[in-house]
Amino acid sequence: MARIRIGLIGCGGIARSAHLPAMHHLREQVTLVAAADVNVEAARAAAAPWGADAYADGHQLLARKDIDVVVIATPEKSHPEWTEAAAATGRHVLCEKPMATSVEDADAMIAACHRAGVRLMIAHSRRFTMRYMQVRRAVDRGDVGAVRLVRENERRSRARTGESGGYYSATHWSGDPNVTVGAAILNGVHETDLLRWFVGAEPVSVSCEHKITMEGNRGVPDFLTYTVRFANGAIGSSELSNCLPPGYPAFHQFELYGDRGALRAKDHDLISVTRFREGAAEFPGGYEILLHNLPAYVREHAAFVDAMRRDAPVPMPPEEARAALRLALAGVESGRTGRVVHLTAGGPVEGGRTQA
Amino acid sequence: MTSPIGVGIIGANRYAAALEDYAAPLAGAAVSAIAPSPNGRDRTAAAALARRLPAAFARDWGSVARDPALGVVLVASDDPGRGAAVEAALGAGKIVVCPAPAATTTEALDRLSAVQTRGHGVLLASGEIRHTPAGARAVALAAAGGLGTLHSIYAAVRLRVPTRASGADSVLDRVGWDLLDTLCAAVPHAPRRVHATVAGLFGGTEDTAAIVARLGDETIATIDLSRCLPASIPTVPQGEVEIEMIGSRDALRLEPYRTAVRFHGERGAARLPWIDEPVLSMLHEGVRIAAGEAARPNHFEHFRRVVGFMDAVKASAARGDTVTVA
Repeated sequence: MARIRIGLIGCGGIARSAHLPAMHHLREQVTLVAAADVNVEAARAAAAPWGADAYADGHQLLARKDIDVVVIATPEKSHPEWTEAAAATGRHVLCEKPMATSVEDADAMIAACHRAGVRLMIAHSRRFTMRYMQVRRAVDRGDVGAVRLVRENERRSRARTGESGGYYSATHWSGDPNVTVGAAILNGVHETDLLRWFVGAEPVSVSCEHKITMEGNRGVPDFLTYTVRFANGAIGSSELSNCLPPGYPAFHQFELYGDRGALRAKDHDLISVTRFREGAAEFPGGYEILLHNLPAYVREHAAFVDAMRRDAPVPMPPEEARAALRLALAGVESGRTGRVVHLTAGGPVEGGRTQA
Repeated sequence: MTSPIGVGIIGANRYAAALEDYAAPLAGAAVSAIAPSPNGRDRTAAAALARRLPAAFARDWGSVARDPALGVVLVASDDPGRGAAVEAALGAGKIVVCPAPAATTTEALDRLSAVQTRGHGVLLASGEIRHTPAGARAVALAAAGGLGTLHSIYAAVRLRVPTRASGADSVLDRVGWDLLDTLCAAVPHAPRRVHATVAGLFGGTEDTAAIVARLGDETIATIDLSRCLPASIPTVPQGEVEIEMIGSRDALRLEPYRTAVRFHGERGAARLPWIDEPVLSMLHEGVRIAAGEAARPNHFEHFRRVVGFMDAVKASAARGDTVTVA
């Protein structure tokens, strides 16, 4: 079977730590034929192991005829531009999260891919993490009854004193308010996606507080905490901090409580999933650290490739990523105004199941 | 030889029971009288405890509150009417230790404050978490700026799923006071904006509270209270308590009851003797004050901040909207 030919636009941190290793893992099924980045050295470094070509301009990459899929790993503000350009040339798109910086841009991306008849999937890697796949399956089986309360806390370490270039720092793109909205969508969109995915209903309101905690940050909120009410009465909440001192355990703390039981997954406990039932606790998964979880990235790429091979829908429709973005942006609005933001009530989440 | 400070107990809840383990180490003091709570519901338990310690059993809580032989009175009662016992003991000049909130409204606090002033007593109320060995260190560190500029606090208490619906037993009243007390001790600034969502999700009327608050110094506090734990999750009576304080320089993570020791004996349920160490810590403080070995503190400014915080939480929950505090 011919390998899927990939063009990579954006060769920074997430490309190096997630997409390129995932492609390497799937090298019997995919091949990188070209890489592009405004930093052409980064493009060359990405392309070299594959014998691929490197460009300083993504449009040069898109002008090639031998690319099936474009993987977009640029900062989120340029996702619509590259997605629409790739779709216009008939390429399927796997785009890094967050989908965009506005719901209107997300809609434009979906419309462009729909018009072109190409697939679009946003790389919400947490849905492909074994622990959360297990959680979703347990919820689907009814192991915990109706989901009533979901909480996710995320903790990341700041760069060491004297080091530059860390997330939200003055010299990193994520610290530039002209490029990103901040933690609410940069890592917070993972949380809004998981909240919706597990609760299985649409949000009706969100209240949020956010702030800048990183020294040197140029105006991008890097901390936020919020509470979400869902149409089915459930409550979701999340707190994200990116300024932990080095040595603090970077972790994701997840808790889900249903009316017949609970599910938890905490990085710092070194246990991926613990299922608490009335009778006993069970440990259905082995340990995988959540942040930079290569198996999740591999599953994500594999699922996208599989959808292409089978001519099937992608496992996570782009409308799901749009909904996660919408909720995250509502949080930003609440944080900005200090008021509760009310969202139009919707029905159950549909089509949001990850298959792997 | 100096006479030991007399300690009286009103009520027989778990704080009183803890003294069975700790009566001996309560240096310089002796428990000499026990009376039931003002509502009298724990009369049998109080009498039994008096026999076991041993101490004199008084049918009337007022006689303990005003007993001139006592220097310290522990109000160990869940009775909502415990404030009357606190007021009586304060008015009689006692050092009053009340691990539960002594008053939950500003008006009641003002009255107690006036009684304390008139009677020359001292009220040491609330603060079970911040009187755990770990909690005391964490709060002191944060309050002294030991973490740098405090950015955020995350605090959670999770309790067992309620076995019966009870409107009166809101999770806010059950555990919220203690957590807000800890928060206000670590950050001596009133909240300026509060979002609170309170709901009955697990069979209780108000079994879940999700609170986000921006405090006066810009610290953001996230507080989760819930009666959500299924029976298979082991937990102490205080529930699962976890607190994180994240500053510009350092951060700390606190699970004050995680290291509590359990004795698994042959005769029934496990015993958790050291889980009630905060009560002993408060009693020690009270005894030292009564003995003239420590200054007589006035905690009413702190109590008012806690009550103000809770008022804002309840107002936000009732309105379903943000409350901005003037």
